[in-house]
Amino acid sequence: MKPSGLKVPPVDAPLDWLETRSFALRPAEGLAQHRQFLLDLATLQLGTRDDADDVVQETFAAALEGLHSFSGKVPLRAWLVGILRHKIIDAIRQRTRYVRLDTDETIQANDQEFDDHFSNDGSWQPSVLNGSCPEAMLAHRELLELIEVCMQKLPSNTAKVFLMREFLDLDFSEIAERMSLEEGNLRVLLYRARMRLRDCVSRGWTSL
Amino acid sequence: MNEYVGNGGGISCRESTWLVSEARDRLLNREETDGLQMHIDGCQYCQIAAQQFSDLLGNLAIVLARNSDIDRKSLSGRAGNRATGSAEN
Repeated sequence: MKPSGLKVPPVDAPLDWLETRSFALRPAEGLAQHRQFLLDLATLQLGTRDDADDVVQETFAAALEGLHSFSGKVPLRAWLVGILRHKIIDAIRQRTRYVRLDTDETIQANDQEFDDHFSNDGSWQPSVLNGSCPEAMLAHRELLELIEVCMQKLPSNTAKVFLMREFLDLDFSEIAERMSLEEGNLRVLLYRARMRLRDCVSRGWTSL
Repeated sequence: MNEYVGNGGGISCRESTWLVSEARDRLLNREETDGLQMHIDGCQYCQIAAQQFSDLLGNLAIVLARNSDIDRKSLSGRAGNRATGSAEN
């Protein structure tokens, strides 16, 4: 597809047709809008702003090079995040050692945190379920905000391992090894992140 | 891992949330899968919760563009190595 030649959206135009087209016309501006988000995400994973800057630069370079392959089927941010993911994984795997997690947060990891979610026999307390989330929240754009919510609302180490798993897609055992975490602790951290994020879905993103 | 208590499928709601979480990270064994399924089938609360987890986690792959064109074609090697079968609850 050659977006620059389009005057009107084609019949099967992606929802983000406008974004797709404006990105094709002014790619640098399109990228700049997402810079901070990508930097935050990379900083969480890599630990330093310098390292984050490097991978975001590489991501932008790859994005500009691969402009033609941006179809608009996913939001621009999601597309960039997809590229960034590879850059972060490469950076992580080039390291011979990984910064250990803050021990306090890890040691405190336990599942008593959700005691108020369940009765004594382990049944759900209906009040924390609140029905299903509205369809609108499932839109890609809103779900992308999940990552921001995750970064802002979860303890940083919890967010870090959760995104190593769900975003970087590293194996459970690789995460445990790289973070010098016992598997039991990692399991709890991941559980905690998912339970907390489910709470978000249940309550709606805005009422955290 | 957990002590099973006498609820639907032999597990409690709380234990079912653990299994839903762990299904993202490893393949559940047959006993766990059956227990989870039986429990969810018989528990309206867990049906709601499972839907919420599914909405949340099941869509992450799409949202994060793990399977986008550039993921597969332009950047070789890393994509698609996940056991997606275990992630679909």
